[in-house]
Amino acid sequence: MPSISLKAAITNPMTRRVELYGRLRDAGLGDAVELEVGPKTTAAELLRELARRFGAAKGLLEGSALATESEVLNASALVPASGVLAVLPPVCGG
Amino acid sequence: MILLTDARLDPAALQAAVAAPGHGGLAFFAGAVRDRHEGKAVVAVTYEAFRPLAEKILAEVAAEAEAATGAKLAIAHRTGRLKVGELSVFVAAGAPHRGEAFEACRRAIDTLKDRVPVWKKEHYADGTSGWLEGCTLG
Repeated sequence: MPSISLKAAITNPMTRRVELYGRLRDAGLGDAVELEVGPKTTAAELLRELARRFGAAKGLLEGSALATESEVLNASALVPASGVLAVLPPVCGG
Repeated sequence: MILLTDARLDPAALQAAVAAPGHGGLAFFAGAVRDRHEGKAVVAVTYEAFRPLAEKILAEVAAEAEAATGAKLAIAHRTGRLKVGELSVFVAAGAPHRGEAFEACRRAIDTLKDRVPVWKKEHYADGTSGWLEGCTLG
């Protein structure tokens, strides 16, 4: 099945910078990527687009979540129109 | 007192933060960088955090443990590259009696490991390195 890019599927896209943390920085894309995000884009859709961008390294995204500076977003949550966005792999502090 | 810092941790400062005339029980947990992991010799660990959310969740972890036990808590977590033996995390709890202090300490460190957006990359003696597996958020 052909994939549809997030950019093509959304109206009024905005380019958003999405920060990457932990093992996600091993994907070769640096510490952030820019993605096209629309007003109705969900966290799950953004993560799918990011997986497309990761290509062969998409396995690194397993278990990751989209977050803002104040909360971790559910998969169905709309991506906020402003503010910092970050993709967080499974955590292991302590 | 909640602290996420590149600087060396100061246990005395955290003890002072939870000390009070009515606190007869003070309990502490200190996490340090270990020299081995799954058979590999570790020389250092780099801790990375998504700082704004990590600080917020650290505060939530402390507040939840305080509400559950009645103890007062202080938590500090390191970021940056740490050598073997350096403290990566320090939890201090003060309460009227030791039971609440121990319980608050355990709750805080266990919850912290599951919820705070911090990651660690181990650096091995053979020159390789690797991110450790963890707990999924959300």
